[in-house]
Parts: sequence; C-alpha cells; structure tokens
Amino acid sequence: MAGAGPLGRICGGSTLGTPAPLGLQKVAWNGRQVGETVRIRIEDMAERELKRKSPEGAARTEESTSDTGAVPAQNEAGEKIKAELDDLLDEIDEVLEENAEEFVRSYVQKGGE
Amino acid sequence: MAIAKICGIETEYGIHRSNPGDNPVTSASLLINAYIAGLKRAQWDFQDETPGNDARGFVAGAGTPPEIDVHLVNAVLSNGARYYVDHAHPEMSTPECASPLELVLYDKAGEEIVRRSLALANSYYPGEGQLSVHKNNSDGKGNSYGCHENYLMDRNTPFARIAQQVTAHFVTRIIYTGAGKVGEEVRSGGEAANFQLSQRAEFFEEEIGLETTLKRPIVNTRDEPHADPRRFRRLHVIVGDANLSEVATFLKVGTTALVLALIEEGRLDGAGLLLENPVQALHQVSRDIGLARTVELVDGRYLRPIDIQWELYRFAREYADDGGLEVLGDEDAGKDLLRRWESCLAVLEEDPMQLANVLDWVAKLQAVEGYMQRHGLDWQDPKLKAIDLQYHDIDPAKSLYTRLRMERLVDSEAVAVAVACPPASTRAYFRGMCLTRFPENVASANWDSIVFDLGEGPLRKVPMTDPLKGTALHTENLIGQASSVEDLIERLGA
Repeated sequence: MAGAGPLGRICGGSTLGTPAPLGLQKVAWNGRQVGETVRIRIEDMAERELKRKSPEGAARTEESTSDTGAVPAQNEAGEKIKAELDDLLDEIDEVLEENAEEFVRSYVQKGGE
Repeated sequence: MAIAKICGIETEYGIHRSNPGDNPVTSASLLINAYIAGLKRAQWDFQDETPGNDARGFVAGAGTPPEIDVHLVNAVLSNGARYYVDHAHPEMSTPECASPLELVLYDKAGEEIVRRSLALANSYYPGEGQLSVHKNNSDGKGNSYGCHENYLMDRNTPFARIAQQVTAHFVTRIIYTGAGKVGEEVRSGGEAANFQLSQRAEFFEEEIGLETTLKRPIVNTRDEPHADPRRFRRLHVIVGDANLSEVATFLKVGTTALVLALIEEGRLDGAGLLLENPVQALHQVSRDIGLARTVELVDGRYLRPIDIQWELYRFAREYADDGGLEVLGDEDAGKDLLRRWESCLAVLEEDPMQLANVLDWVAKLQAVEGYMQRHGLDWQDPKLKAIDLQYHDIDPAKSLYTRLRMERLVDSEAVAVAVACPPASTRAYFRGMCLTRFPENVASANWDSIVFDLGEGPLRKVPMTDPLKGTALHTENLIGQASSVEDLIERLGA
C-alpha cells in the first residue's frame, strides 16, 4: 500500500468536514520563505554551512537567509566556500558509481514527449 | 484582462534497467505498477483528449487517432496527479495548482512518488536488473524527453500575440532555469560546447509548431485546454528543462506566469522584445555560460539575455504595483517571486557562481569544474558526463543534487502531505478528494471530468470545465457531509 498509508490519516476519515483538513497553505512553506527577501549571497552560503554543521541548524537551514546579523568578511567566506566545495568533492568521489563510465555508455533513452 | 495562472508540470523521467536489452516500456510499467498496485485507483479517461488540435486554428492529422497508447499503465492519484507510461518513459503530471509555490510543492511530491516507486520496484525484483530513474531531459546521445509546463490563459488573447511576445522570455529565462549539461549532442558548427546552461535548448529547431518529438518548436501550438474551450486556452510549454532546484522551478513557473499575464493585459505590446532569430538565439544563450553575448532584436538592438530579463522584470514589477500579483494565486508568494527574480538577476550579473546552492546549472558547473581541478581532468573526460548524469539520479543513495545542499522552498513534511492530498486551490481538490473518499466508485477521471459508478444504473459524469471550481472552498463541506457517493451526486445535482 505504498502511498496509500497516509491517505486515511491525513486526507480522509474524521478530518473531513473540519476547517482546512489539509492545512496545506499553513504547513507547506514553513513560515519564513514567503514574503521575505532572500539575499542570495556568499555570506548566506557560508552562514548556511555553519548552521548545517551545528545540530540546531541542521533542521532549519533555510532560516539563515532571513538573518540580518553579522556578515563575515569576503575572504573568510571565500575560505568557507572552498571548504564546502572540498567536502562536496569528497562526497562525489564517494558516491560516483564505481562503473560510472560504463553506466554513462549504457544509458540510452528513447525520445519522448 | 489577465486571468488566474493555474499551472501544472508534466515530467518524463529517464529510466534505465541494468539488464541490457530490457524494454524501457516494460521498465516504466514495472516502476509505476510497483507504486499503484496497492492503491484503489481510477483509470484515466481519454474520451476528451485532443492533442492534435492546433491553436492556430486547424486540426493536425484529422481522422487519425491521437498519439496515446491506452493500453499502458495510467492512473490518477489521490493528490490529483496523473502517473503513467508515455512513450518509453514514466511520466508524472502534477495536479493543477493556483500558485507557483504550490506547484513547486507538487513537483517535489511527484518526485517523491517516483522515488517511492523506485524503492518498491527494486525491492520486488532484487538482483534481476535494478532500475534507476533520472529527472533529466536527455541521455547524452541525442535523445531528449520533456518537462512541459502548462498555464491557463484567456481564450480572448490572440494566440499569435502570445507566440510572438513570449518567445524572448523562453529563450532568455534559461540563464536561471537551465539544468546544465556537460558537452553537446547536436552539432551546430563552430566551436564545440564544453558546458551548456540548458539540457533541452539544442534540440529546438523551429519557432512555432505542433510537434513535440521532432522539429521541436520554441512555442508549441497544441490547443487542448482541458477546460471550457470558449473561455480558456492552456499554453503548453515544451521548451523548459526539468529542474531539481526548487528555486529554479519557482522562478521558471512564476516568471512565465507573470509574463503571460503581461501579454494578456497587452502590457508587452510595443515593448519591442522580439528576437530576430529565436532558434539561433536559444542555442547561443545555452552555450554562453559567461552570459555575455548579445542577441539581435527585430528593432535592431543587441541585448544580452540578462538585459531582456531585466526589461521583463521591470514590466512585471510595474504590473505588481498595479495589483497584478493576484494572478499568481498567492500574493505573498508573488512578492517573494519578484524579489527572487530581481536578486537572481543581480547576482547572475555579478558572479553566477554565487548561485551554486540555488540554481541547477550553476550547481552542476561548480561540481564539474571542482572535480576537474582536483583530478586534473579535461572537458573530454567521461567522468564529467557521469557527474552530469548522476546529478539527476533520484535515488537518494546516488543523487548528487541532494548532496549539494541546495536552498529549499518547501519542507519535507509538506511534500509528504502533498504525496497523498490534493491542492486545495483548484478543481484537483475535488478529483483527489473523491478518489480518497469514494475510491470504489470513481470509474475514471481526467483533467476536466470524473465518472462515477454507483453500482447500478448508468455511469454518472461530473464535468469540471472550470479549473477554479471544485476547490476546497467550494466542495470541502459537500464531500465531507455526503453520506455516500449517491448522496454526493445528489448534492452536486449531477
């Protein structure tokens, strides 16, 4: 019953008929995303990275973008980005399929649409 | 006057099975069946489908049946989506959404459903050739498959005006909507591209047309509104990439919805944002990762793609000041969209690499370039294509996208809800809730009707020709209070 599980619990049964049974608009965008300016900047990325590494920050990394607190210096941010990229490249090395090149060769699709 | 920009996305996923020689149609069926086997589901109803109708006023291939194989797996889900095998791909069509942010949520819910399907299918057939599924648009060997957007438009807006005025947006939006691609698949003469902004751009050969699989046009003329044809048209957009980035999807859908509203309002009349050679420009923009090369306009100007985006942004900003964000269904999301559009253009102008945690093509480019430097590789190294492909793998154990810690707009809990429940803001609500509440009695469904089987007597068809009717506001109490499906039909007066 994949996918059917949550149906009865969330959409159906006793919750029907009560106000906004899905609560979609309320839960979907977890507050901060809508209506706030997002500064897509180096500082944000660095700050996000800090939060990601702290246990509290891990669950709500998005919040960092709405902060207006201290802004790290450019070169410090640059260092952090470098470190982040290094972590990422380590991960790519880890997860890149062992037979990646063979997989790419055998990956043939029919056209669609 | 612009009308509400109800929107949806259809995504064809790439599918691969490790047994060589396996039929992709079988693989796609296996994937989808693994998911829907346990669901009480309704069949898709093809009766009203007319993909051969051309918005320019004629019917292609009149007398021949539409290109749909009705024997393949085809289900409508409780969240209002359609999940089916199309050609040789699993395809997910989101339910109709009223705002671009809601559509981001349902696009991600669609991904999650495919992800669950994959886990189930591979657990059912361990060792027999595992499936892998990619949310991408080409196999790197010249075969492309689509990610189509759909926007509700006012029938009174002349199609020629839409086609003429939207093209510059389709060509230039790829600076933030592109999913990125290592190399090229279609030789166009000149220097070979190492990296392109868009997966799809190089497959487009025409400015306008009905085709989707060959001689692909930038503006597709399919005239199949899935709604009252006297009031509505549905602009079927085939020129976009499938995005994993939530921000890219949000911008793709939101900016396009706004540009279409500007066209309906006549606000782009005389703006002069018309390209001299749109197809060539699309190819050129995709290959210019420096975002510096200009394209020629009909009035003789030469502008960078970002200049054209800035002009469109200013029109949209002015429209928003006049109350235009109403068409996006959610004013807060509309305001956020404008701010993101502006800041995205500003950062792209300054240094695109700052968007490596935001946009797909930048994320992919950063990963590929970093990998090249670390291992001393050149652009021809096949490992780079492997990184490109694996970026799109939807299996969380393999996906590179999920490792890039991209900015998110919707949280996982909301996505889990959207896997099962329809959006409250369109007729998808009625479709999804009827399937949830009366799964045994829904004989079939499609975008603009539901057919009920009451057990005895004739089947009862409930038309839903207005996408804005059948919302939670209209039907929540009705469905909640109905004691049985017969009672529901009676209350509907159907």
